[in-house]
Amino acid sequence: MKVMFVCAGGMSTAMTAKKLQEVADKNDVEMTVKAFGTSDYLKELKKDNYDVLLVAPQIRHRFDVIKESANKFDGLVVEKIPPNMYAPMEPIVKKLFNFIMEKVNNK
Amino acid sequence: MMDKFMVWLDEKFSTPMAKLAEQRHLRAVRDGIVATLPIIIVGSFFLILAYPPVPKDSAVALWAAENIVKILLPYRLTMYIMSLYASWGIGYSLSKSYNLDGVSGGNLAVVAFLMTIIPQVADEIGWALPMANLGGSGMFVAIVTSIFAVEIMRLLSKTKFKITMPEQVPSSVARSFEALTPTAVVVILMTIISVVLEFDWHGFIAKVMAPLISTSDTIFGVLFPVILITLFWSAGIHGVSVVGSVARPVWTVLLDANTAAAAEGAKVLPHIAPEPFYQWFIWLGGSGATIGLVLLLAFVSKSKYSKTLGRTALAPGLFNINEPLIFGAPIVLNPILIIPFVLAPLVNAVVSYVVMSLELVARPYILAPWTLPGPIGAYLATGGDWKAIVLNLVCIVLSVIIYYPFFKMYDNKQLELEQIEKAV
Repeated sequence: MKVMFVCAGGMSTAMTAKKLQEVADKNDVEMTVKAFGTSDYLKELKKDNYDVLLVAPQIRHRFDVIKESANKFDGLVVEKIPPNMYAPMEPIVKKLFNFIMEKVNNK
Repeated sequence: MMDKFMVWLDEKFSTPMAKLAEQRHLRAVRDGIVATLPIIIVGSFFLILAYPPVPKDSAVALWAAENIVKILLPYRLTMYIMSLYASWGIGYSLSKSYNLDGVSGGNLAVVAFLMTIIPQVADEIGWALPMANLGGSGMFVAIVTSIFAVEIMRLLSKTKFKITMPEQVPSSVARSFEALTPTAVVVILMTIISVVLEFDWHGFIAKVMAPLISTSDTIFGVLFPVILITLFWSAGIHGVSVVGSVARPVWTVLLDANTAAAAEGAKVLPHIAPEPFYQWFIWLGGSGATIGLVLLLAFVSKSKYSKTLGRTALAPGLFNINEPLIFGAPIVLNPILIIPFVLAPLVNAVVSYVVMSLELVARPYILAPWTLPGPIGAYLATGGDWKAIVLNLVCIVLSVIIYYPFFKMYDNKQLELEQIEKAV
């Protein structure tokens, strides 16, 4: 499963992304997680087949614009990261991991 | 009461206000100006080279003084004419947002903007374009004319009054033909306004914007955006990104005026509060001046969670990235931590503003990358004033002091929770 995070600059999400990758590894789920800024995510979506696009909470006011722009990618799950699941610490990222698995399985 | 405030902050204030900043034209202006930042950053660094922070009689300083015109050339062709670049970016972004051709939109915006400046004939070199209004002082004209150009393009694209090519024509060729009508209309209209009616775009808009520009450089003009930005972040929304959409053009004008004065060798710069002022003397460790909190968490906390959080957030915090802290503590909608999160930047702002109005520390005029550690950024932003490092360190200490009582409450609460968990 390929997951992309998008935040303002792609820097703060990179840390949470790395942690999420570790949690997924521990749970034996194959997951690659990458983080990009709002100026790059579309280009990256075109390059690779992503399954999930997660929008960081601090730019949730841009969610509608991002979701619309990602409409053309078939089967891409686009979600906001809930604010209480967004920090590069194990217990918090675990919640995020479960959140993603639930969204993907219910799609 | 605090609960009610949190609900208001989350539902009534931050999300609706942030959505406003996503308005199409504001977004285009934001993206257009943000796209010029690399040009501004690289360009402004040539000023350090021109006025190196070394003794005036040293060999390096003497060499720089002798070659100053040449050393400043890269600056003159980048930051000094940044509105030209911004104009293209605004036109591109806005036309893309309308699903029109971005390249045509960008070009048309530049045409409209350039037509506000009347070329002159100079002896020996022939036609020349005066550069002064292509820089930050022309920013608002660039915004107005770029939007104007793209709106004309959009209006015409909806009418039948356009040239459409048969489908067999390659799309790049078709596009350039489609841009013919809007280009003709924009050029004719701009000629009538600027040449026939001799409308002084730059004089007029400078007069209209003057009160806003001068207010933004007062202490209230600094505290107001600081309060807004910290309130947005308190609800978990990127405050600088939202407020910056509206404020950045103004900050850019202030920065350009300072840089231009510095390039002329001025001792005291005209403005205190272009964006680097916020970056290096208010947002220590990120929005909310959280450097104090992150240091306390990392080094003096007792609870396990605080310690882990502090260690995780310390390294990014030194480079002014504090989302791990904002969402990890969390500060978001946390009635205890929001208080210092708003208060610490306000105190830093007042202290730094006073110190700079007394001319004890040089005023910022160089845009250094925001991920540099505070003292280094402060030193570069002021063109190499060592006293800026001292001021930056003072602000860090203030942040620690202001966060301390609230950190204590937070840490004790975590400790309590951990003991309850253990007992169960």
